[in-house]
Amino acid sequence: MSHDSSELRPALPEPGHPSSSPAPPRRGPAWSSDEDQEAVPQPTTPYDGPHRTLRLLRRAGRRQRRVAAFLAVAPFALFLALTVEVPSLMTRPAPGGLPTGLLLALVQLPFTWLAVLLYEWTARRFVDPLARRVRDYDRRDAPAPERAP
Amino acid sequence: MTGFSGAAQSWSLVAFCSVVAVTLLLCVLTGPAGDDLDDFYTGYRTLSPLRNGLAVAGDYISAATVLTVGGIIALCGYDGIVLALSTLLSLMLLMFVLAEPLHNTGRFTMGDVLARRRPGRAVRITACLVTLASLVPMMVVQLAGVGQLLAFVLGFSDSTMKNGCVVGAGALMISYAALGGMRGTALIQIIKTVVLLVSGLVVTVLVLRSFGWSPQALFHTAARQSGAGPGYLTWGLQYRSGPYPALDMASTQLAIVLGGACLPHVTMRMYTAGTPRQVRRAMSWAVASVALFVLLLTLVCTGAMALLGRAQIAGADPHGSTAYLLGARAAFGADMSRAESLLFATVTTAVFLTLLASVASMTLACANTLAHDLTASRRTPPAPARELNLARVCALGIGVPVILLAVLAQHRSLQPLATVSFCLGASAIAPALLYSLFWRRYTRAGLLATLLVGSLSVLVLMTGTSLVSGSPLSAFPDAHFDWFPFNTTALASVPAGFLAGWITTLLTSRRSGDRADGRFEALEHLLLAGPAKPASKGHLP
Repeated sequence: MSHDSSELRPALPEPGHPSSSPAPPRRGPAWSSDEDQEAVPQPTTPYDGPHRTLRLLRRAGRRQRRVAAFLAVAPFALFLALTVEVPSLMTRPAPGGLPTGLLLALVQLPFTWLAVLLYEWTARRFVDPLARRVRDYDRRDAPAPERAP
Repeated sequence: MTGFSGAAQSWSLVAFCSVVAVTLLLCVLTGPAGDDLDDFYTGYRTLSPLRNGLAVAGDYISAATVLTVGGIIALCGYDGIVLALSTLLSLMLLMFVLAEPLHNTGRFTMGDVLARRRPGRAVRITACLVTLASLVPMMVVQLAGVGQLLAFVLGFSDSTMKNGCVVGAGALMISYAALGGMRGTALIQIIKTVVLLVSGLVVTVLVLRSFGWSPQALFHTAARQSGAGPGYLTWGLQYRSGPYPALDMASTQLAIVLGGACLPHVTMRMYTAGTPRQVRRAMSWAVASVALFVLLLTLVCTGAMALLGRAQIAGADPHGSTAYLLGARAAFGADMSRAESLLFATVTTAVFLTLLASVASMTLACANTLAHDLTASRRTPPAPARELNLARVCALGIGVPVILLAVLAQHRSLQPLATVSFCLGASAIAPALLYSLFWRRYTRAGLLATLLVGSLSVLVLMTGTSLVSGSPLSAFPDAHFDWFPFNTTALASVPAGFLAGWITTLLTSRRSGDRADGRFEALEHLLLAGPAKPASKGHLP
């Protein structure tokens, strides 16, 4: 629903955006552990940075959502359409003796388990690393939390 | 009368009493200590994915699913199976599309998610009203079902006893919600899911054994016994009374697929996981358990029809809502040994727990929205201790009217009430959440228009359906104001909700759209990637 054509533009910081001002590299507060410091990703190419990572994450997340939702809804919608429009096909006995429609309905259950596993795997592979990088950038840019004495 | 043997009845009674005692004790033990809001509303987000997933599945498999969908599977065959499948699809869509964004942007209630995008008192109050409107009918259905279930299993028909059962179950649901908070109700849901799945597996094995392990024989015998012949194994039995059966079926599926998983008592469980990855894991467990349950429900209820025939199932209840229990009893056979009586008592206890647990979660969701959404937008929000007490009082405040309504409504057909809940989920909540989370120009006026137009169109159109009047099985069988030709309103009200939001946003976006755009940009990091530092309060001493 949201539109994003900004991938075509060069990944320059936008004027007026807080991160576009040449801020000195911020160090973590004295009490933060070394692990926190190491987790901050350093841009490796001129095109690598928080904005580009966010854009990549936005696209990866959107693709993941759309493909998954389509693959979940389309077979069911097709199944419903066939049920209503081509009853002769769905009542024909399938191998095993059950009507084709009923068999197709029951086959959707194991398909669900597969779809869930596939979704988890693709999200872990394509979305999670980008999300982690965006969170790391956010953590670096966030103001240091105040501690109660 | 049920004809259940004396041993089965006494075992069931013993099991019910022990379940009530044990769950109440567990609820008190796991309930929030002190006056911590995070603990009460989300259990500190410390539930493990497996436990959280079982709790989501427990929330999702409500008594309406077990009893109503089970009855439709038994009486109408194919149409019921398609309904059960669409229930499963709804949860899967929640996992794929909404679960992670909801977890990332929400805190305690649906009002938090909507107000993060468009803050304001009007948004919070409308979200609270829609939550109540969508959950109260469902709670009435479940609570009224308790009276029927206990009368059926324990074999009494006195209406005073039934009313007493409803009041007792209502008092229990209020205690679960007020004492246990999110963690307490989650525990009950976990116990319920495990008991329901294990007892369902045992019954399914018994059903399949009595048909020589052949599903074909099971389905063909059910078709023969149903009196509908081959019609039982193809679509149309459920919708044949209306003038447009195909559209009616599409409307019902739309309501369930969009609305089922958007109901607030299900979405509130998205806030109890720790990280986006844990939400995904939890939802995988939930979808897998619900898929297993759909399979078990299908086989047990078809088995009920195959073993008993239409006369007995429709005779016990015209909507067939006792089919699951009848199927279980038929699978055990007429003469039960002591072990079999005990196993059968496990099945009845699972259904009893289902009724109690789902209604407790809904009470909690209503109490949370009343206490949190109505006070969070004040200039000076109340102190946590005060808000917590308020939430507990609200559980009582929402519980008492629901008990009264359930006592009054239990002798009528309750199908329209369950349908109202699903249609409100599909027509108001689903569009509001989808637009809020994924449309950057969505404005406050658009949000309010979606919620109000979606809800009002459901409430107005529903009164004209044949579920409310005009047919022998409707809520008011003697009246005739059934002008709307479908069983559910989704075919008209879902487009109304989506269009209202879209058009209002277009009309108001010139002025406030830019502001909405800026706010979305600020929110987008959180929405896509989750909070930079996951809350780790639960690990602190």
